[in-house]
Amino acid sequence: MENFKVNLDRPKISSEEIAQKQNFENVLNKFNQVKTPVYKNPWFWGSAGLASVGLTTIVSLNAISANVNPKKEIDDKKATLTKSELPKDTECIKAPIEGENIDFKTYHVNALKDEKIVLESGTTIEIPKGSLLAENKTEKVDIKIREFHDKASVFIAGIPMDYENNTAFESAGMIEIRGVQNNKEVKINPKKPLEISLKTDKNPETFDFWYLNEESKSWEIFPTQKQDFTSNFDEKSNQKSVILTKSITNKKSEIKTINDRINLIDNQLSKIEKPKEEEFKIPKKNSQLFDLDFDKNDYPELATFKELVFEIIPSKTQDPNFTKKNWSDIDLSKDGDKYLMKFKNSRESYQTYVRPVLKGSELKIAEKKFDLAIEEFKATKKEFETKKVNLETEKKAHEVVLNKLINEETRKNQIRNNQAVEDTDVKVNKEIQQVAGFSNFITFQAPAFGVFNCDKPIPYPKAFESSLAFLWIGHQIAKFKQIFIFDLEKNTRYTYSAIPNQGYESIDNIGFHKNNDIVVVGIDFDGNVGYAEFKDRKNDKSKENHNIEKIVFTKKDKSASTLDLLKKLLNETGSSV
Amino acid sequence: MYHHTPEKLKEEREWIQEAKNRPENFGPLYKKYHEPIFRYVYQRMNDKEFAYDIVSQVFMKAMKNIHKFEDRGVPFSAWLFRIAKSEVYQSFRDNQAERYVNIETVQLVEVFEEMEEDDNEANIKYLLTALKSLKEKDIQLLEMRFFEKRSFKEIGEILELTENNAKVKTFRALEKLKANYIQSNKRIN
Repeated sequence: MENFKVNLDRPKISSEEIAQKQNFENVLNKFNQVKTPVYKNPWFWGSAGLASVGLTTIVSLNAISANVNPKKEIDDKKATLTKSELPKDTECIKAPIEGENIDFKTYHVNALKDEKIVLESGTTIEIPKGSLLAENKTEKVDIKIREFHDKASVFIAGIPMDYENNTAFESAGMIEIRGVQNNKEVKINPKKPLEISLKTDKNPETFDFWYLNEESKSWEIFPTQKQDFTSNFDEKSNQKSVILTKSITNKKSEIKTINDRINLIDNQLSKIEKPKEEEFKIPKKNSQLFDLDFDKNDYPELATFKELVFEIIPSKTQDPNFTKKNWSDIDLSKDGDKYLMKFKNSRESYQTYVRPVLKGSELKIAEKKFDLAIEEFKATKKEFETKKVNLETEKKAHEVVLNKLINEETRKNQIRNNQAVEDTDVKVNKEIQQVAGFSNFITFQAPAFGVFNCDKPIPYPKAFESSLAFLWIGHQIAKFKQIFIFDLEKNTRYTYSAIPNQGYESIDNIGFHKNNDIVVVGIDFDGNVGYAEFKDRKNDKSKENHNIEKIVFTKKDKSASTLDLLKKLLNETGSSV
Repeated sequence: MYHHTPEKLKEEREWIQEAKNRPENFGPLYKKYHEPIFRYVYQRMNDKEFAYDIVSQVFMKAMKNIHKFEDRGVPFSAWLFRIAKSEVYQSFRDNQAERYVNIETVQLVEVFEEMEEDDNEANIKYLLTALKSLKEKDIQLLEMRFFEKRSFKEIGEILELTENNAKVKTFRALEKLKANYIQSNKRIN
């Protein structure tokens, strides 16, 4: 069977030919046409992405006010799910303990309205109108959310925590959010992403933000705006004024564009010429007309007209009595584009410019054409004038907004210049933070549903020199398909799995930091959960340099909650999901 | 590509940083890697113009994702080749292009040497038949090693393997080729 074709000795392409095909401009243009939504570009968060900063600021300020009294909104929308309503595990997210999972909370939202969900932790999710691409727009969409702030819950939910290059994540806050309507997955309009302000328990400056790509089963870094509510007010104040400055610049630019368009219309208007009668060979009223036989071979441009007369073109030097005189000879000639009529008799001669005009039926046709041309001229002129009036109205509206923005900027600058006011703001902000009882938030725009995580990759520990023996209490061999090492100091979970078809003995390369508090959890091939603890070992000098050769596991009672047990083992009893 | 001087590496790092800041700054990287990426793509197909299209796609993806690139021991070129590999195989999956392996007769000599066989005309015919029946994962290793003359280090970086693993897998692919070659020889005779 042939899996592919082979070309033997295909003619080579020269480097010059390839170089000629280089076209970076074209690639850049295409890139700009289809580039990632701006919120996914990290440079968006830089100086060029000022608008996002402003938006974030607004979201953040909303979050402050929402968290001061978050209960009301929760009561309106909170409806905890039964387990049967849980979205199914995906291939990527698989709850490891059979029969146990972390419940989602469901919020019913209207896809046709701006909605805001405030979680108990203070995390907020803003859903702009038109963001949810639901099949039935009039029916409510179920937003299913679970938020994680401890290792035990993340483990029970089956969220993978491994990253590339043999590292695992230390989490500082995670949220899983899904949209469902009539058991069908609802997607987010990427142009109208959700605005999520996720509470983190740690300093977000030391963590990155990630999105779980469930197709590739890998975490991908995700741009955010880190928010520290304890930070001083100057920053937000500056951000707002930057937005104002930016808005003013934009508004001025819009006005300039309108001015340019108005100028263009003026230019076009000046170029529209009113049709002239002479262009249609129509004689003017009360003009002097001459009937004259001429040789059409000498004037082929006039040959197509059947009924033609000549109209005297009035001039200042014209002799008013020339028509009263007797002329023996009249001659027609051309002076450039003009026609010249020469009158002669034995005593004198006279010449005047004339133009050919129509008479009879041809004149009537020409007059109709002229009337149509006049109508068209008037319509075109009116169209341009209407456009100009509309643009001037639009310009006035922009100027009103611009003035407001300039006034606001002036006002803001005055406030910013007043240090005493600023200090008060900082104090108030800190007081709000203390009352609300939270510290840091990460704000981001979610263009898709899924799992978002504030994380830092931690390298897997070096494996112990010798393989470990796994035993149940009582020395029976424990045959695990997966072993999880929870490092309490590093706040990390390391996962080790048996290689398929190679049995429990293939779990190898396990290691952990000997001085850290460690909890080991194993799941055997029958679904039994075992656990072992290595704690308070810092001062245990007898074990410090001692290689661990075996781990003895306590078997968990099948009826007991693994989540409760883990929370207790991991000292997370006070934490929340 | 893999023998940069420290100055060149520094310069490339600067280009990468600038490209991360603004996509317009990707130009020098595009200029530098356009030909190697084109040759990689065109090596695997027969439609030149389509190969150029894929190259454009590769660079667009690279521009889109450059913020994810981190200099953690993997050269930028290997990162680009990984994108190219992904785009090329996607085009095969979408039936937009047909998989070809392009070989120069002189390149087969080394394969024969590795297989300890004579490179006569009849044997070349058997070898080509044997090559065509290899699986993609094996042909790509042999292709990179023998027809593109890449080092095991580079092969490993592109295929996300260790250098040693790339060496072992290439050796195994060669063993399979040899087995197919013997089969092909027997069948034809």
